[in-house]
Amino acid sequence: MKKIRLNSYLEKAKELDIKPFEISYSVSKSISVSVFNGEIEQQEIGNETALSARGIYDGKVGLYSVDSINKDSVDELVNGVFSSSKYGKEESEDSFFDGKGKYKKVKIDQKEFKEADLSSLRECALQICKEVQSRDKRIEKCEVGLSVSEGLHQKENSLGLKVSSNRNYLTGYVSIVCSFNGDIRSSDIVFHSFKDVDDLKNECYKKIDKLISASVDFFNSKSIKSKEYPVIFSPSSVSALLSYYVDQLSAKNVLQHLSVFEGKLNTQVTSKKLTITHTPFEKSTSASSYDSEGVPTTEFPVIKNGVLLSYFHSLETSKKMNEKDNGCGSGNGQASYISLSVKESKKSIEEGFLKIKNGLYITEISGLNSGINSQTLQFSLPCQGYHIKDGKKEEAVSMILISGDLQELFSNVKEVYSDKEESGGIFTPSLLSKVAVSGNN
Amino acid sequence: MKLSKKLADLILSTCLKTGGDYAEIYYQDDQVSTYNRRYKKVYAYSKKHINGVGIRILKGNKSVYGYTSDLSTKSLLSLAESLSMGYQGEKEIDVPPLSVKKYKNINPIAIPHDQMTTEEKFAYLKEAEDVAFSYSDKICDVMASLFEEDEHVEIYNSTGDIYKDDRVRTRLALLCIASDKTQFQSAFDGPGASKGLELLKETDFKDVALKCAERACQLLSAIDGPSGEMPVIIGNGFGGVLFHEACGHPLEGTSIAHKTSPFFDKYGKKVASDVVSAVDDGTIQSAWGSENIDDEGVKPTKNILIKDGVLVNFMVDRYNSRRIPNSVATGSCRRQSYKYLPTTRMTNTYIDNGKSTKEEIISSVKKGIYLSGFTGGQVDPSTDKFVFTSDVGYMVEDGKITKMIKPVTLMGYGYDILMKISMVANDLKIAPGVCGAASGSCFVSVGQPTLLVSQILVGGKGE
Repeated sequence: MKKIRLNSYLEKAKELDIKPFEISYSVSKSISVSVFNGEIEQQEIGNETALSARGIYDGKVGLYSVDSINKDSVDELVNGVFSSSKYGKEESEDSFFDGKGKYKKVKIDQKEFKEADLSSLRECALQICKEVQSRDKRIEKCEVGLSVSEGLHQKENSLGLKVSSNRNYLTGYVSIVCSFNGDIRSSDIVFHSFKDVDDLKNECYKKIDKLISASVDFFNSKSIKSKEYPVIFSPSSVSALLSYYVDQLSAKNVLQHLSVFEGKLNTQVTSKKLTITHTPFEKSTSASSYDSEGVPTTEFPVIKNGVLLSYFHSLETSKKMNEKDNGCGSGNGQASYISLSVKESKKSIEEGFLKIKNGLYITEISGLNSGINSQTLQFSLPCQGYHIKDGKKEEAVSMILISGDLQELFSNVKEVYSDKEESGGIFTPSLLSKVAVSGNN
Repeated sequence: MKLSKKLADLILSTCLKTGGDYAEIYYQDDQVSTYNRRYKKVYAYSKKHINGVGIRILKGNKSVYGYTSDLSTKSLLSLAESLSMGYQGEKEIDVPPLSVKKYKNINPIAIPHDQMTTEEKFAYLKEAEDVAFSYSDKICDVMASLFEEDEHVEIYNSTGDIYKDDRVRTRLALLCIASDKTQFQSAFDGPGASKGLELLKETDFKDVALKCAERACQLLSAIDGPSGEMPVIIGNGFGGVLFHEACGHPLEGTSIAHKTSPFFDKYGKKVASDVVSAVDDGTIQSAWGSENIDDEGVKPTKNILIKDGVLVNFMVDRYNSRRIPNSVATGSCRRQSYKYLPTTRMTNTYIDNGKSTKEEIISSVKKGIYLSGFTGGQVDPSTDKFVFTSDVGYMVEDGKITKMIKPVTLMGYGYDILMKISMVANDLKIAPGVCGAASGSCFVSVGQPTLLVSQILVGGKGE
């Protein structure tokens, strides 16, 4: 992917006295295939560009974006910023970064990436589908989707900022539907690679057993009696819950008195067992050396032994709170994490099971789009997993809902384990807490 | 017309040169404006221009799709050429002369978006914001926003049809956050329609704000919801998310064609209790989920899905109609934008009126809950296990609504819950929402009258 010259946009903005002016350009091409039960069903080619800009005129910020670039784009984009600034939010030059900073490289070697074409994706998807279906006769339906995406992002502004990054990776998913004596169960996995199609296939094969277990283990599974249980949450479950919890660590929310963490810096906010670090350079699809304001990202402790050490800052909030900008700007003054890492222990999850007499091991949480409120941090979520009885992982449990408050849940963490995994930009091990469970038994 | 007939013909002919039996060009030119007040000031005012083309080629049961925002002739022909390589064969059909097709406009616009100034629009939002803040000093933030969309779509296909459609949508949204220093609670409402700015005149937005503020404050003293299985009364309007999740998605073409839906072999069979009749109706004038034509150019239909508990139809797009025997497209093909392969999606989906009254339903419940507001839900169409979450709810004790409860999630299997709908009232109401699925986020309406589910699992923290 080639960079483009953005000077004409900056010059036009200067003519209109928009200052500072910032422009972001992204271009990507993607190829995808999907296979259903061994037959190629869909193939897709995508070419995408996007330009977005912001700038200040007469003390107010204007915003405009466009995704088709042509001879009129300079006028459309810059005039769009100019006209929208008339009614925009009052903003100062402080919310623009001048590019003077040290940008650290992410831990992804882009040289390892190899392009893939439709033909190689088709072949790989068919092989994966065949392999998955050969593993268990109870798999009735298998859908495999693979895609390769190559992307480039550039950001420049009139204060001197000039950053760019490549985003090249392959992603895939496998969904299965299994049936046994009329009982139907489904499960899916997602996987990715920063190398090539063969590596993507290997990443998939590592997860096939887990994929099949997540369906077939739940045949004839039952619900459980409603009450509070000790619960071990799997890494993907922790990641799902933690992503909502840390939403409230945006310094913007704190400044607006909308965060449960207001006034809690250097105080105990979670169990002492939890240590969480911001790790934007780790190998994940969200890794980045700069944030959405172009500020260099940094690694820093967020929570150490349960004590809150830092909020997530944007340029605006770091100025207002007289804190160092930690490179978490996510737009419009808001801030969020890029990637987080929860410190693991040396204890295995099996050791964790041994200490539980009557509890649950939650392996999957769903319904997050509506069942959790990122403002109140209250949740009521469907999940499934396994009953832990007398120190052993026993029968699968489904048709249960967990309910509570994320502050309580993370305050009640009694143990973290060693099985660290990445999910959605959060690297975390399983952890033990307690939660109210609703069931129909 | 944004593409010349000559260019469209050339693209379609290129698409079909390797044996494809149907080709289609989808052109989208969409202007979106958002006006947002938060923290008692203008928080964001932004404009977005979405402009691109999606090209689809079908051959039997296979599909090849591509999209681009580079609208040059060279780019479009190159994309068509690359997509045609998805098949191997000889040209089998020619594209007939292209001609524009006419259809009825079911979404007339009374007041276009440019008929109010930006100042007037922000002033309108501020009035509502002021009402919410003045309700109580416990209100710590109000987000008032206006969404405007002016979309122009053109569809060209290899059967010689050209469709051109203008889609205008307007939505207001109001979120109130209340705090008593120990906790936060929030309340939301978002009226919307396939209308212009007449929506602002027809909506008492200050009243919407007042009710949201009231609800957010009440939630501060709400008790924990109960847990376990119990009777649940689901209120009218957005309560329709029950049917949307529990049955709507599993009745969409893809799940039926893949035979992954529990309803794929239930045509003509009993799938719900006698009191349930359900409809997907894309023909409702100016409704949030209504369009003059779908994204394949097919006219919308009033599609009766369930009649007195019996499954009588599915929702199907052209591609899936090839895979589902004896089916025809129902005007249900939709997509978020040109970047998404279109597929069967719902439009305005609701359970129809029954014969009971809301009062009769409430008085019939000895111990249960009444949920009158919802945030949304989710379903696995292959197992039909669904969830949806309330944001306004109350205990029902001895036939009376009593204490307010905190949000709870309901969970069940759609095919099971449809059979457990034991009473349906006569107060049908439809509400707007956004549905995220295979072809992106689509604007839909959900609806229902007040109804009673005799037993469903409730996930509350309380006893």
